[in-house]
Amino acid sequence: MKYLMYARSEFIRGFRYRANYWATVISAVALAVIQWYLWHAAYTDKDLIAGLSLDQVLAYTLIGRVAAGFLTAPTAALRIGSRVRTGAIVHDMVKPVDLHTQLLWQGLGRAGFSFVATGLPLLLAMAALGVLEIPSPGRLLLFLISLLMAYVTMFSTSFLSGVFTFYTKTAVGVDYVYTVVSLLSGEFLPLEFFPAWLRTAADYLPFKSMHYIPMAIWSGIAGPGEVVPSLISQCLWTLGMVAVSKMAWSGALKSLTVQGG
Amino acid sequence: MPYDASPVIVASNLSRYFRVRLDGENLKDRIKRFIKPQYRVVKALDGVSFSISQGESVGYIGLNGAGKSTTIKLLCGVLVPTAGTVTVNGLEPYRHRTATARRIGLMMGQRTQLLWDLPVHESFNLLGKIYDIKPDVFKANVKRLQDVLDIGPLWHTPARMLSLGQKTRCDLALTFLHDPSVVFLDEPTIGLDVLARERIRDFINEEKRRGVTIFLASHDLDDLEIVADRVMLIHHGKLLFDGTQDQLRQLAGGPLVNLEETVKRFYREAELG
Amino acid sequence: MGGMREPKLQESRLSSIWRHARLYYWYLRANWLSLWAYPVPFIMMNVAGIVYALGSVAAVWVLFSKIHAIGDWTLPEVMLIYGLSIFSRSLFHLFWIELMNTSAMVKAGDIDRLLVRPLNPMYQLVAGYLDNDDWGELLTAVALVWTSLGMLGHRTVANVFWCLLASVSGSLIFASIHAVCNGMAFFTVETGGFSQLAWTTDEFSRYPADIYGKGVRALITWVIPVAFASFYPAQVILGEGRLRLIGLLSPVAAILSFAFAYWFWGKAMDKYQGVGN
Repeated sequence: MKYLMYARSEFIRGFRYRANYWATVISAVALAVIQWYLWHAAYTDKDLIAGLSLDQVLAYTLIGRVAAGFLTAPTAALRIGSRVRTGAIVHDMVKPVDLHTQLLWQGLGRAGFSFVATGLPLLLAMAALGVLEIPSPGRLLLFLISLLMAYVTMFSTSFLSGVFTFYTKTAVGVDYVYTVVSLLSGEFLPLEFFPAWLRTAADYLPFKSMHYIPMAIWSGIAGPGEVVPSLISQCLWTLGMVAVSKMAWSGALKSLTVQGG
Repeated sequence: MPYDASPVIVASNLSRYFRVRLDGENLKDRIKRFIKPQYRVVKALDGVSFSISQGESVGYIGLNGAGKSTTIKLLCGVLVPTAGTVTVNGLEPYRHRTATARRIGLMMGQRTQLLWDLPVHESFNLLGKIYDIKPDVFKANVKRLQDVLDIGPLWHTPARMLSLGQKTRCDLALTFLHDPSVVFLDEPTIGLDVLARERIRDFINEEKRRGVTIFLASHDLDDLEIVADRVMLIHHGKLLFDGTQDQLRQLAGGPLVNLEETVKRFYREAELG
Repeated sequence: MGGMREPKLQESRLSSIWRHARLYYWYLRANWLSLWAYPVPFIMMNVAGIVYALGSVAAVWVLFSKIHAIGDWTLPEVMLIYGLSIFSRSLFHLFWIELMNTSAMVKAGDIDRLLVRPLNPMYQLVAGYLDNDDWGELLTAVALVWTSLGMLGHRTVANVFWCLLASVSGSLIFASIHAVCNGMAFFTVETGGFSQLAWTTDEFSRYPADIYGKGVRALITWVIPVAFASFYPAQVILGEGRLRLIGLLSPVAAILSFAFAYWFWGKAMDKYQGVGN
């Protein structure tokens, strides 16, 4: 299957840059260390913050660090706007593959490398040190499913931003909008920390499907009764974002072929 | 000899090797080499010697990857030789990078010096400041270059709106702005049409008459017409031929078509060893 | 053209520095004009910058609204440290960001261009591009520092002046870290990971340095001196005794670390092999 080949070649590509790899590992460890100390310091005189215990917040943020490389990989899709401007998009258009699907799989290959080479060792190391507890097999499985959906939502969102830059003729600002997205997705803090109105807003937006839901499942922040409804809403958002981004792309393609770029 | 006999560029036994990390054929190899890397040494330039006098113009011809750009980088002080020595204006370019930089010009085809978003004159202003050119000299040079290269009309156009030919002319002017005594041109005519090439040829001939030493690297034999005096053929990092264009033509025994055949023969013989 | 002119071999260091300083105006000018070349993106960029600033204010606010103390530090104290950290960071971002582009320059062969000009290569790299999209973070930082100084009852002229100085020196610390990490581009072409590592180390400066264990604390004081970008300078206002004295030395630490980074970057450049041939 050709799309699997795309993923495979991106996965293999990861092995090319050795020094780079070690820098990534150190980076991941450092961010986990910061989170560990920060939350311990924040909980010195309290048992609960925003209704969450230290263990829950630590589990949430640390597994977030493990998954970070996996979830940031698809941001490459942002570049399609610049491919349109430079005309390189022609190469994508003459190929008998769907660009959306191709980039999705390529990103998955990169994400896979990042997860296997960086995330997994970090996870195992933290588990061995007793810093991070691995949940029950059932939750673990649901976490993985949720993480995969988070990837697809993340990808579709960045793909959509890429198409958006095709209309605005500039990629400027997309990165910054991303920072806001990362706040609303729960990457920065669990959504429980938000004031009520912001929490409500975050609940009605697709962004929490990109980070909060899988991490909440892993850490147990999502109680037994909440897991399945969260997964269903995540699934709906994922399908919705895929559909919207594909539609936006075919719309862009149409105007591209009509106007001649 | 029509030239000032003092040598401007002297290279002796000039060599430059690179170490390239091997990637591996399959996943297993890649993982193995990821853990324990393996390297291969590439001899980009291997024991090349030559001497170029002031005012001489040299065409440095070779296939892609023959070592042309490496040579130019060594002569400009961008790279340090692995072995051998080089001097430009009596100085080792790498050791005296700034002093060398003031007296050389480098133009890399397809890589513009122009400030992309700004009108052409802004690039000239900034470069004038960078090279510390005195205001009256700057004015005079700009005037001269505007006339010879016909870039006056482009003066207020943003660089990104120029055609390739216009950009090349502006880049050439920028290269000569600070009165360099030696100019290195790396594939200056790449992608240009016949008329644009002719213009560049005329300009370079003009600069030659002013006594500027020209070192032009190209994979295109047609560029020999631009630089008439001397030809050096380089192949796989070694010098195959160094002589006048007439000598090369004699070897070829005829017009440019035969020249091409001769050069190909050189390459083939070099391949056989 | 006649015989060879006697080349001017050595320019005195002082006159060279003066020449570079004067030239900076012309670089700034060209950069500023370039930013205005596309007025719409320029404005959009600033609008996006404000959105980003609001986002980061929101993040800080959400964090501090639930966490009233970190370790032994009260909310205004934590805010001052956090504020100094992003103050330094945004100054770095505005003026030094092109250090991050070392890898791309090496890949594209554009580093060669810097080497054939009679100027310092790192200077040309840094001066050659000006970022404009971090004014929002700078404003956030100023607001945080100003507010926290007020809350602490320490809003004196001397303290405000110190915060400014500390931020400039802090930006130099960040510049040092990014110079070293991105300088790796001269050894290995792909440096996305190193660039990311530099941003990661910045994060250590956001929270009080004494929440970390001894080892980490020593690391961010002596090896990657990010603690000198926010925590120690804040001690000049918050602390006393030895800690305050260390705080006063922050600019010295900044100069030393930049001297090392500059040396390293130069050494890395020496090793630079040139891409393609």
